[in-house]
Amino acid sequence: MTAEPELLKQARTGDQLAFRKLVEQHEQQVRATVLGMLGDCPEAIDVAQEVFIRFYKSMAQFKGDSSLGTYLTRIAINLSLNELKKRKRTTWLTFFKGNEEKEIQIEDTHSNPDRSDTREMVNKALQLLEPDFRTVVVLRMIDGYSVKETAVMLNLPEGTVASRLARGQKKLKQILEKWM
Amino acid sequence: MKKEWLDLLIYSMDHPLTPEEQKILDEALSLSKALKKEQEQLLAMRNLLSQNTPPASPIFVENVIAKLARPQQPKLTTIIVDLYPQIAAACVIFIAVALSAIYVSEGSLTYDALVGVNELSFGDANTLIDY
Repeated sequence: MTAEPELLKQARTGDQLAFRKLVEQHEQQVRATVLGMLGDCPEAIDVAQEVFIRFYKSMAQFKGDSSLGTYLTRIAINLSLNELKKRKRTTWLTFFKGNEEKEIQIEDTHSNPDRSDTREMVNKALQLLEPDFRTVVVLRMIDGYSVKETAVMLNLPEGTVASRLARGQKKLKQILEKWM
Repeated sequence: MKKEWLDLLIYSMDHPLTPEEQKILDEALSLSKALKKEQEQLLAMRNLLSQNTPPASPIFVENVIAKLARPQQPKLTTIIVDLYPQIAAACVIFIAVALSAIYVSEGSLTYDALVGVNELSFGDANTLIDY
């Protein structure tokens, strides 16, 4: 298996196969991030694909200061937050009453906990968190970044990340309590 | 369950503890069943979240590659930005021609000439209002 820096080097020269391998290596993490941020919806797939398209276009600017995974996650978070803003604008423009997040119903799949059901349930539960809290929860608890790395990625003080994490975790525990 | 125990437990989930802090937490966990239950729930939730990665999707990879191969349709904003120099030049030429035409016909570029009331007296204006 070719190492990531080598694949990057090849991809920069226009090697499509090398780029494909990079996508293969990171698609699950990027999709997990976007699904956590946006929930399981058609836009989530588009946003996840857009992450790699943006990366492809900006590959020359990627200096390797952070790992490729971190770089892609940062793009995924930014694009997801943009999508959430777009949703909010659309909701306002269509005079849609109430907060769509509050309308999400989590079905009781406890009696038959299938792997995909669990994922769906977790993603739905995440949608009930405010985007600021959701972002830190996704980065820390799904992607596995440390509090420090999350703070650097979001350009926030560590204390803010820790406090959002604690509050997000508390709310999420209340939502998921009956499945644990 | 003491609040400081719960705070320490939550803190321990994301930060390494000092040996003293770890000792306090261990003692608290052995003393409080509620804290122990809280710990179990938090760990279960984190476990649930950490396993949230979707399965690998070859279709996703194919779609990304296909999107890159497809010629991108330029967005309206991109078109406007690209055409901006031409549009700006056309506007400057139009304004210059309009000002020249006014100067030639009115003999000046005063405010009255620009709005077309250069040769209109107050009397004429009153007549027009009465009419």
